[in-house]
Amino acid sequence: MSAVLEDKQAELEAVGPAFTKEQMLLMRGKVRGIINQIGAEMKPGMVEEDAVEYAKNLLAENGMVRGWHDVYVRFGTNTLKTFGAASDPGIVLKDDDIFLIDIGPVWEEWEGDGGDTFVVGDDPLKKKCAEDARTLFHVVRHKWESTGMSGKELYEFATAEALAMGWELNLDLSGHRLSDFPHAAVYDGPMMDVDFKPSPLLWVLEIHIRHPTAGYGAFFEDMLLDDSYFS
Amino acid sequence: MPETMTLLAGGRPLPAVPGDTILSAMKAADKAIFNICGGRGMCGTCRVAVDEEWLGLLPPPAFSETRLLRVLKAAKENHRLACQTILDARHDGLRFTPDPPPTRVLLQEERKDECSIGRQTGGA
Repeated sequence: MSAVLEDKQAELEAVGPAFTKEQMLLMRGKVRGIINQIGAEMKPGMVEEDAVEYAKNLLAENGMVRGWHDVYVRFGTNTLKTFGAASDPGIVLKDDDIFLIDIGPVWEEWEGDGGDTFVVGDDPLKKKCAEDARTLFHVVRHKWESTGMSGKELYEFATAEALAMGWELNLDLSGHRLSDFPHAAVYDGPMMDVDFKPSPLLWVLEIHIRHPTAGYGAFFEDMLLDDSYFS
Repeated sequence: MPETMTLLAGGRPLPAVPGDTILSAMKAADKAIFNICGGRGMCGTCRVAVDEEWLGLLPPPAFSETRLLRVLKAAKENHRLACQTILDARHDGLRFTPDPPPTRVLLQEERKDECSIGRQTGGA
């Protein structure tokens, strides 16, 4: 790697004074736990707006009032929406449906970020969609672990893999930094734009796949870490 | 109702129109203000301290804004979120002071130690 690129990596991977491995991993655990709690409480008949309110209250009860991005719980066709886009209002979770969660809380000095997709009912294609988002996340993560691919190359790989699986990959959600709050003061761009291999613990990998015609998608997001953190 | 009005942001004139938020007025005038969550009322980085005599003319903060303001460091009663504070014609002359931007000390050497978890093979 050239000295210029090394300097660029050092610049974009800088952290603040509160950054520690232990706290970042603790935060990751909180985020995964809250996502699963939210997912378990979603029932057919719920309105999406109520689900978002429930998620915000649950985060607040767990000391995470603050977030570096908004709280997203998206039902049904709203799972196609890209990051930051407003959901269509009044969407109700149906008996055989899919929903995704994306949260980015701040707890004390540390940022977290994570996402996952859940299915209610028995629709096999929706189940496959949710599972494929997780599968693709790990396929790309393994590629990151085993090669020197840059962020840009990883998302080129992810795009091809998603297509081979029958999905479109939404590159508006293409990874980003995570740190002690606020990472945005260091680098608020996508991981897809970096020409170096992202370091562990400092980045999240986002996978948002969408069915080309069926009107739903799935999302999975977690930190870039090796296999030992995904047992 | 005036077409435009002038606020005082940290003592400096800031043009605004009714319907603006304090944040949108700051951004429209290219004034530096953090808004990491994009003006969603989530991050608290656009916090401003409103001069006491103007507080009574502002609409009361929503529960979610109050909840967030309470957990921010050095919270005070006159703090509001610029992204959630919608202006109307009564606010011509409103005086407020934005929070300083979040400080960040870059600790490059410590970063190298802290990031050396996990296994990286085949590095570039």
